[in-house]
Amino acid sequence: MPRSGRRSLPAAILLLAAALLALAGPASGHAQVIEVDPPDGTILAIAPSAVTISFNEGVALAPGGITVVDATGLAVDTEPEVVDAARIVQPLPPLRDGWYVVTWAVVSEDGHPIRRASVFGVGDADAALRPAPPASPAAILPAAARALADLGTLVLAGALAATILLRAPVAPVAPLVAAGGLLALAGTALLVLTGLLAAGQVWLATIAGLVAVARIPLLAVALLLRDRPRAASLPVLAALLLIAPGGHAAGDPIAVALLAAHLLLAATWLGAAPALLAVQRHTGTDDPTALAVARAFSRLAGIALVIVALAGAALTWRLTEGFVAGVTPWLAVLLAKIGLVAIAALAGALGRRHLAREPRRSGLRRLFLLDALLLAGVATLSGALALDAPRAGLHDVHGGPDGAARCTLRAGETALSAILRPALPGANEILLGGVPADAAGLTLELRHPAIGEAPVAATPVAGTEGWTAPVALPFAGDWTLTVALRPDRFTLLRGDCTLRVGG
Amino acid sequence: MTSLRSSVRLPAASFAAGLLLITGALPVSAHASFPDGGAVATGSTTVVHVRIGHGCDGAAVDTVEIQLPEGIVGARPEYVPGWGLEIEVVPSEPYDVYGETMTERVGVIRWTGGDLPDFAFFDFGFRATFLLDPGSVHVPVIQRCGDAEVAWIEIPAEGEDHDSLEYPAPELTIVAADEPA
Repeated sequence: MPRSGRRSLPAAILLLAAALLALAGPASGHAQVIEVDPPDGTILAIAPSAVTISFNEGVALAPGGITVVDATGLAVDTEPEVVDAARIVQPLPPLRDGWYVVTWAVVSEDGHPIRRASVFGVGDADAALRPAPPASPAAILPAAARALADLGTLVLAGALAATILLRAPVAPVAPLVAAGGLLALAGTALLVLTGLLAAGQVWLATIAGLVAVARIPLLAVALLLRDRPRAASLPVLAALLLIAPGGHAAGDPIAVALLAAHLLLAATWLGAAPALLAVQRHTGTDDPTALAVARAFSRLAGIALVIVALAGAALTWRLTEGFVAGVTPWLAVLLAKIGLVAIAALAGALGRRHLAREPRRSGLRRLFLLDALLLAGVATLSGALALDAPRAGLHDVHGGPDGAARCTLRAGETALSAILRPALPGANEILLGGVPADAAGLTLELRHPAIGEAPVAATPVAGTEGWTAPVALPFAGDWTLTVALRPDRFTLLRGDCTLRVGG
Repeated sequence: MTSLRSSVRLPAASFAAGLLLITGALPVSAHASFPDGGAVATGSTTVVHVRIGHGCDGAAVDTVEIQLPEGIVGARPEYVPGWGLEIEVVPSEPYDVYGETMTERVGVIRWTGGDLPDFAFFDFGFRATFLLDPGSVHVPVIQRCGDAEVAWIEIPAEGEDHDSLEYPAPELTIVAADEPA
């Protein structure tokens, strides 16, 4: 072995060791945030083009990285972030008015991940979160459109049912087919228009939007085929059944099936009333056809009523989840509708007896007129039912009766109570009770599973054992309030409780 | 010394390089900790060190304070050249020292007036008798850099993991007397 080789090995190792020691990084602590832009809690008049977070040292993004979510929890950071040594820059698309939450997770050189959050608002941020006022005039329009569309479709389907099932003569019924079809077409078109105006193009992608748009060509075809009842029956049937998936039953196949059955039988029962009235008025006094039709209807009506009632009851049970919410406005409208139907059923029962004994045409005419009027009333109420929610709980504000959320917590041996007002997304106030005003080191933090912690700056309320803090909550949900007290320099007492924010 | 065979030289160098790479480049843990406090025998008198791994947001540390929990008695701080030393005596549960019952103990140790740069670390030691049952003990430590401070005072709650806290109080593990350290 050459001598140079024996000398060079230990030297090489020493050289390598020296190089490695020189490269070994210095011990470092947690990366500290120097600046967040936009600053936490600020409202900007113009949406920022990016969120920038500056640190005191180089950081790496932890899994999760940086996210920006809007008030509904939807992520708005579509572009990738840029990590530039000690800065993270997250470019933003144009943002609408509202509150936004920025969350970031970084790993500093010691390997510990740190999660932080910051909140900012754009424009009239709070207004964007306020729930829409109920029963505004504009809300009537979609209900009216629905009522018209349903009424027209029922009349159209009923007229065809009268012709096909009850063997009613075509001539007196034809105008009703045309009228019903036109009314249905107009109502459905209006429904599509109001849907687009209220929710924009995205409405067309909803089930309600899709079925409403699908009904239009079906109704048009039916109108074109109005002189051929059997040919028209198929598109009309489709148009009638497509009403079912567009309402509150949307997304629930059993509820949709129940509603479809309900509509189908309602068409043959109440829906046929105008057609039957027309038949009675049109034919001659001694014409046996009218009576035959009335008798056929009478036989059908009994069964139809039972099915309509059963399907309706099952549907209501399903939509209100067993009447869990008690009597809600929706249920009240439904009860009114049931009342009208009960009147029609009673009138029908009387009519049957009338038919069985000595049928007088005038009596039948009055019966069918009553039915036709009730049909109009039922259709209107159905439209109103489409406005409101079957379960009151769906739109409840989860705060307390006076619009606040409360919770109690223990920080060490100290019991504290917290009140959050108004417990709605947007600007809130936290009142913390049970803390002496001279308590040092009081820190508050609000945490939401979607965003991590957000520190809250609290100030004491003079003369009380309370502290108050303004806080902006971007969205509803269960927020965890963590309160920390530092009674002496070596002791940190912490406790937390949950505040439910409605929306 | 016999020369190393050529077939062994390169792998040996790589292995040595690897070892140096691992040991030399390991970042010092940034949390205050007791590197030698992982197995303190119950009832023993021993020296442990709290490692201060960095400054306060870039500033140099000038004061380190530790609060000794109940059960750590007879504490004597380790002298650090260039730093001042202060101790605070606190009342305590009675304990026995050479037949005499004591009701006081050193509760706080403070090293002052120093200048530990942010890029450096130092182990501040103390000798004490650990009259504690086997288990974990948390020792609150505060480091100060002028007006700034980093307070390692978070005690994990029941079931909470020590490492999940951001500023955990350094942990000592007390073990049964006959267990090997």
